[in-house]
Amino acid sequence: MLFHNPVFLFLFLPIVFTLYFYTSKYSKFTYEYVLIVAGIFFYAWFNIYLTPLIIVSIFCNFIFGNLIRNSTQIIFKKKILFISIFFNILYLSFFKYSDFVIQNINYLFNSNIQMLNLPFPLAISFFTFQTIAYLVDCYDGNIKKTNLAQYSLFIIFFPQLIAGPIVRYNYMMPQFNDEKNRFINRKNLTLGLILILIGLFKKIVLADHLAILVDSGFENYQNLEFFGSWLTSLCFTFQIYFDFSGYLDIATGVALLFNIRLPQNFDSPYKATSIINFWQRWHITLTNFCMNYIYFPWIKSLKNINFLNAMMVTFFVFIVVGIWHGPSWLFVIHGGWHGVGLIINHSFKKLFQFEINKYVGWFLTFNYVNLSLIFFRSDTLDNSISIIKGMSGLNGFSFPIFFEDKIYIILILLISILISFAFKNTKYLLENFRLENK
Amino acid sequence: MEDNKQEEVVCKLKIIFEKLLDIKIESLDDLVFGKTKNWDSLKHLQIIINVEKEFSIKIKTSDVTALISFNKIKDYILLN
Repeated sequence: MLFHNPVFLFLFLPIVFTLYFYTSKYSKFTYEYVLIVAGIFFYAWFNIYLTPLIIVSIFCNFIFGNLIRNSTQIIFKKKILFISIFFNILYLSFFKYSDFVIQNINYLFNSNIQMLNLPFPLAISFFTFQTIAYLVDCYDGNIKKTNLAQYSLFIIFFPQLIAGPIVRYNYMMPQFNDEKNRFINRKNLTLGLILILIGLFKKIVLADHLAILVDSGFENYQNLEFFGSWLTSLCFTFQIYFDFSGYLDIATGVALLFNIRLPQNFDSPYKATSIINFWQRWHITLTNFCMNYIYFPWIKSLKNINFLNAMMVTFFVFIVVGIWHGPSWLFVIHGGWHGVGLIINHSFKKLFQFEINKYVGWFLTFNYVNLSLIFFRSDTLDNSISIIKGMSGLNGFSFPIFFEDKIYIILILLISILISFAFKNTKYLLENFRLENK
Repeated sequence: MEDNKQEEVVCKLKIIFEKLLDIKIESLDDLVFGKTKNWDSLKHLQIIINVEKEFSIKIKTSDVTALISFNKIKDYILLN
């Protein structure tokens, strides 16, 4: 079930909302179960046969977490931590990347291994990262008390289950356990509904319309010349932003109805004036996760910490970020592209003392990101190269015929640009919203 | 006694920050990751490593990205 599905908005959400606050009146504990059952139902709606996948993960990791927390021997603790992280990565890899690996083996060795054709395991990328963060928190002694219901709720809370943000245990659970949050809060309710509306607008009015032009552009990529390829790539750049940030606005809004404040994942990323700055504004919880759990431990484990080593690690972290997005070499290229961008950015800062003018910085950053997203969207490398060629003018300058009935989408693109650059974002709204008391 | 300790921590921290970020500190409250000049992920790591060395403490993996301002790092040191 997706957030913009009417069944979710007009049936599922009101029922869960009512049950949550109604049962909270009579019992201290039922609220957990309402949200857990809702989460399982929400997950099962996509594919009921995959539901055991998340339940098995929850059980196993709850046990791992307890073993780590309760152990007094540091060596044993460390062993279990490594085993459990390895288990989670293997679990994710098996369901998400088996066919990709088989495909590559077949290609390399000319073999003919049958693909597994497993159904797409929804949300697994997100809950795997969230679980790893939990296990490290257990290791660090940050989690004093937990039980199966609390841990399940942490993983399966439906607003952030499918597409994040990636949250930390100690950020979420005190909010759930605060008894003040068991009553309907007028301010949160209003703000939540506003955010849901903003998210729906971003998704349905902007992203879904931009997608029409993007799909047709990428389908006819061989015929795209200058205008067509620029239009296609720009539309995708705004489509993906509004699709993802719209989805997260809805997630934040829905969570707020239950008085839960999710961390912000976007902070007007297209206003970024450097690639470093871009990753401080785009998919923030993913960047934080990678910094905390991959980048820092990796660098700290090196004997010799110097600029070159740090840059190598940065590059590999972004290869991981790329592959995390999906089983395709194009995602790897997208990740690597950003890795290289960061290396250039850091090297420039190190070598030259002067600061680039912020408009020049913005222009370079935006175009660099725009190009990277072509690889993100393309089905084949050929497809990406053809569009980049078109953008450079090598394929001519006439306006493609198949865009003629989609001229109105240019208007949508202009509105998207205006909103991205001239408007304050939902982070600002969340921080500054006041409900006037009459 | 408490004040003395705090002063000492602030003093040592200031030296680390000024050296690594190559800046002159004016206000401690303005020192924030991502906002202060030069304070990016790479410098952040160097700050963390230097703080660990200087104060002989171990900063937990899960806390590294939470310590995103001068004051937060200072409080962390005082608590540990």
